[in-house]
Amino acid sequence: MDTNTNFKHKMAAHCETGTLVGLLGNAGLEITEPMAFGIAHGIFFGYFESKNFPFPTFIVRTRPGEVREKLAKSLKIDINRLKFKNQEKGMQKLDDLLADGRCVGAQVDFFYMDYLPEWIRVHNNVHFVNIVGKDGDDYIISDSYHHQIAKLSASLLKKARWAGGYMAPKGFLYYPEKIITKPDLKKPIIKGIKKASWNMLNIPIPFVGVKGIYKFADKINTWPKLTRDTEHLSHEIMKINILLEDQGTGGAGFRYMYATFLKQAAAIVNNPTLDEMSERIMKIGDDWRNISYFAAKMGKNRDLGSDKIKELSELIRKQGDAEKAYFTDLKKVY
Amino acid sequence: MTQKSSAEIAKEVTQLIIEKLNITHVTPEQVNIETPLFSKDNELELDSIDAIEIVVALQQSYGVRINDELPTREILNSIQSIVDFLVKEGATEKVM
Amino acid sequence: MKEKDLYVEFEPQRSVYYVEKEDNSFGPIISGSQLSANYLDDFWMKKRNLEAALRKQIIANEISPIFYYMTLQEMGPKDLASRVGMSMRKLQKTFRPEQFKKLKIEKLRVLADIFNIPVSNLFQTFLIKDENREKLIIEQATTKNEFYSITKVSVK
Repeated sequence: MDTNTNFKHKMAAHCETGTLVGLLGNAGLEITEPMAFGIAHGIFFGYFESKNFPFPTFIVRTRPGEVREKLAKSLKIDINRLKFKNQEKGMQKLDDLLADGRCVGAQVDFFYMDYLPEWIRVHNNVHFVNIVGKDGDDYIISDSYHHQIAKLSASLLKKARWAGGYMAPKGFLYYPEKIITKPDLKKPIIKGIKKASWNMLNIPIPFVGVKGIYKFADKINTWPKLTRDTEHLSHEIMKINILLEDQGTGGAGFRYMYATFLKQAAAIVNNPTLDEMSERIMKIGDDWRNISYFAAKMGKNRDLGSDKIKELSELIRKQGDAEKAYFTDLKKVY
Repeated sequence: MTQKSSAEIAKEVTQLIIEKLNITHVTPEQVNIETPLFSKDNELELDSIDAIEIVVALQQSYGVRINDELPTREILNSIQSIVDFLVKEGATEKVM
Repeated sequence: MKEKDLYVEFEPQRSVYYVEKEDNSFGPIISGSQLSANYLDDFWMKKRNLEAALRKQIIANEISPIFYYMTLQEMGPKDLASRVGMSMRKLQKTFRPEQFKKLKIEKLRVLADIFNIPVSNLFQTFLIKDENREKLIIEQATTKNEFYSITKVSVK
């Protein structure tokens, strides 16, 4: 198999940070996944009701692509970004880059990644993979969610790169051009922490940040009315677990990963308060994980009466209180 | 440098929204700039989640920041109100 | 979360999770999915039930195959409309059989492409009797002719 780049595949918690850390590592900048996530202030919350989705949903990280852009800006990494209207040209450019020995990040619709288990593949246009070689008609893919290097046919990759719809990839490719191999992380860490707190507390949109958690707590009580039947409600309630744990969050909706970032940051900036903040967000993460278990059990046992949903709603509201207090305190650190 | 007319800015903003939100069923010419952006009558068929993308797109393209909740609603009321905001901010030229 | 409390064995779906390790440091481990390890059967049962209920509606001429696949693949109507290149209002009309039949075949090809199925599957379903489920393999392949697919049925 021609991986042409000696790319070292490694699983990662999240696809965007995973591909980025992989590309940068391959180019000579070693940075951990939590550090990339923290500097780029990826931690977030948002509750969305949109016809783009089949059902209300929530996110636990910032907009797709932001982590890449904010990290590049903070560490002064020069990233080449390419979009293509013409599919043939977009595939040809990819082949040229691979032939030049480059590893290339790509935005794809997750649904077409046929090497992953069928039950997790949904249409989601903001999946990121590294393309690290070509073997005949197949592309060699390093996907953070797969335990080993995988192959994807050219026809599926093409569908995935030009999927259209919400957050359409438009053939997007990216790769680092110029990097500093040993950047000073102190300032970027502090800037990242400040911005994460601002995002969680101050964005002027009523369904994002801490306000988003409260919105979720309120709105979940309306979910029974939005579902077809009990099995549908069970499915949606169990998806809370997927969105918090299994959809590339590192567990507890990125809160565990953020705790790891703060632990690493505390050592770099030599600030023991960040150690304490790390322990605190780890505990908040544990409470999110309890919500995940609670929702999974509710769904499995079809224990979906309004009292039970209210109980779940209250647990989520408490998370809103906890995160409000937490990010208010984190904001005071710098 | 000649100043852009309000209609020209409106067309540019409409084009920006169509492009950023990957709206494939209408052209800028088919969009009524006075119709409330998030109403059922608007040809763009937007919903609240799109507001975030529009705020980000305006920031990236015109270098303007929208930081408070109430003005955000007013500014994003229609294409025309976005144009009025850009004119008021003196930010009618694209920065990227 | 302590490493020992999070770790679960489930080889088909593994992910990276960040945990508190034995030595109190925080870092990544690879673990199986707790949800899939415990509740995957429930997921498939619900999926099969949904598939059967929607199929019944297609057979009764109440819904179109577009609605069938959109629901099964958990897509939002606005997202699907944008992928197809039509307004959401227009797409929603095609959820009804009487509007579905007015669509041009080229639009059907685009839809089949999105759903990653041969165009012919918008007009048919393959059902295998329970007693034969373990014995048969059905493979479908599209051809250079975008409107023509080949279905191979073989015995295991």
